[in-house]
Amino acid sequence: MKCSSQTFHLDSAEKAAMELEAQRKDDLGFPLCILVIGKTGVGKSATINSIFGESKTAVNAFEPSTTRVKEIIGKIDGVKVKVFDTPGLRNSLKDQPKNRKILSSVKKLMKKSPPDVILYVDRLDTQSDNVNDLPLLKLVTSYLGSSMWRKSILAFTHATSVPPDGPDGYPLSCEVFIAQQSEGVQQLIRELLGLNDDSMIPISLVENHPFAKKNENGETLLHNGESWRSNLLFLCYSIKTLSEVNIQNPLEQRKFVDLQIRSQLPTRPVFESHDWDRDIDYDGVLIEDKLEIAGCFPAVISVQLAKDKRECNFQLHSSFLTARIMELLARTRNFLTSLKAKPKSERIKQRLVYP
Amino acid sequence: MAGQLIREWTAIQQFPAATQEKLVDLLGKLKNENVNTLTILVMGKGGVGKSSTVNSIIGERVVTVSAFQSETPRPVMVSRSRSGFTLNIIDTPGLVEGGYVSDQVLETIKSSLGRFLLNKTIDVLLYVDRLDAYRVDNMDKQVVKAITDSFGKKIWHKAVVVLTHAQLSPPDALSYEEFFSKRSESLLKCVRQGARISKKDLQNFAIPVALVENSGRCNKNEHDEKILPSGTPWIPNLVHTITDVALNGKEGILVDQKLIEGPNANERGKLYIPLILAVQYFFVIKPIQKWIKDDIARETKPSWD
Repeated sequence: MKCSSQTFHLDSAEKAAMELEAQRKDDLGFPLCILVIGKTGVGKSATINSIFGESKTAVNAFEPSTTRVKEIIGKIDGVKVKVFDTPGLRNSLKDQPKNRKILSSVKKLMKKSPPDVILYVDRLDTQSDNVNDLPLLKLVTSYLGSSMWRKSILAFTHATSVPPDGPDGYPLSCEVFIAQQSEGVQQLIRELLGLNDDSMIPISLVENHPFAKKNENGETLLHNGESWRSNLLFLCYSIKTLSEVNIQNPLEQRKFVDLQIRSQLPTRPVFESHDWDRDIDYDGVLIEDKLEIAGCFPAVISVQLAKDKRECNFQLHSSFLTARIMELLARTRNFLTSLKAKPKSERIKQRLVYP
Repeated sequence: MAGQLIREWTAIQQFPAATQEKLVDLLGKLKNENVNTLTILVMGKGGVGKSSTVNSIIGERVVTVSAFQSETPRPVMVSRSRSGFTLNIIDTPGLVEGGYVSDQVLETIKSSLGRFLLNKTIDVLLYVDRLDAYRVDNMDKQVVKAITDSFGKKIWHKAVVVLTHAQLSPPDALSYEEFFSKRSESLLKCVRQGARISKKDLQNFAIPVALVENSGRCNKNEHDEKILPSGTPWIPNLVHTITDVALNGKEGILVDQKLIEGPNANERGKLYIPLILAVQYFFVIKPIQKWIKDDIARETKPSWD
């Protein structure tokens, strides 16, 4: 019963991260590979430029600027990130041959260097004309496999555009607008995969406009005041972590791991000060901690894993993402992997540590 | 028009005084040229702002607009009259469905026109698209082609390209003028290609472009008029462009039986069938028969003897 004495010390993880950073270790060995796909003109290349914080790939407001799959490599916060920019897919069914060509070269690429995350990009502010998008999504799924959605993020660009007027003539609230637009695409994908529950693909809001509101660090903010770039990167790492741990319920063999990221829809950063000391069944584990990054920036990280529900909630409330968080995630990953080794009948007591 | 009661255009009064004045002037201009009816047909892809534009012109929410579902289910004609002048605007469903231009939608539009406007003319076509769309592709060309096939190339003499969502902040650090000019250029090029307007015919088809901002947060000037980023009040500007096209001397499109019934894609080339059969008979079958006969004649004895 060695498990009962096992406590997960987040503060020791943080110490390790600080040491690593002090050593200025160039590569923390947690590289991230992202594949970016979507229709033409939605902002794939612009999003990539925003992620790296510099112009790495050409954009054009009038005609397709990316004509073939492009590999873009860079470092974000000391972590190696590789992004594949792809030519945009066309809406017209007459352009199917072009789309097929693009998708088959993407498929070849995925075999050669499988991405950790697939970003499916679309605009938030165009009508999600579902009937028109379904054939395209079907084609994408047929080429890249339905398992692609397991590691996908729906990225909605133009996220700070003002919502359209509702039926009463007044503008819709941002929350309602975002929820409706994203739900449209989610429903299509569920239909495609034959799922009749409410499983969701994580969404990320993106704003690439040069004049959008920024915080003191120069990061573009969404309507709720959050930096979208940090949220997106965190989501990417979460997905990578999850897929490495490979949590799946062997009984039902679901095709999907639910990844509900609660901090995606507009919420203000909140400090959770519960004192949890739970007796938890093997079914679930809650790890939660408050951190202070560099002694002044507050952050709360919580990882909630419920094995039975096949649910894993990652929450990060932080003003920015650093290498420390990467290390924390790496540690979390190792811990979760070790958790898998325990037989089902054992009860595990986890003590939650607060500094 | 006997027995047909057309509603009074009372909503014109809810426009700010400065806009009302300009609109009344424009209506006066039409009446001076003996034009007492103006019929406007509004077409385009789905979700671009056709219904919103109709509501903006009339001045009240006559057509339902939804930001989410596929909008107008069938064509709607809104008619308003004011001091002997009648305005008819026909709002239509988006022409694109499932990645193709929908033949069904086109048929619905044509049969509705047959009900609303049999033997009357369409004076102006508003071809609507968004200013803030960044691509013009095959889909747009097909939409233009479908309109051209249904109404004839001449409809483009009476067309105005309407770009909605005009209150935008241009991307990629372009100036508004630059962005607008390039966007219009792309779209007009697409119209020319889709309607098969030849280079030498170009000056005949100078299609004007009008900017529109239908949302409630459109900026206003000191007279409370809705304005474009350039400062121009856009409602009078749009109506002015429409009147110019109405009075440009070119014929309107007559909605007759022929327009309503065809062209049907299946009908295309049917006339060629007898011709092709004749060609096949005379130039293929008969020569082969002759060659076979000649071959038989040349054979003097059976080859297996």
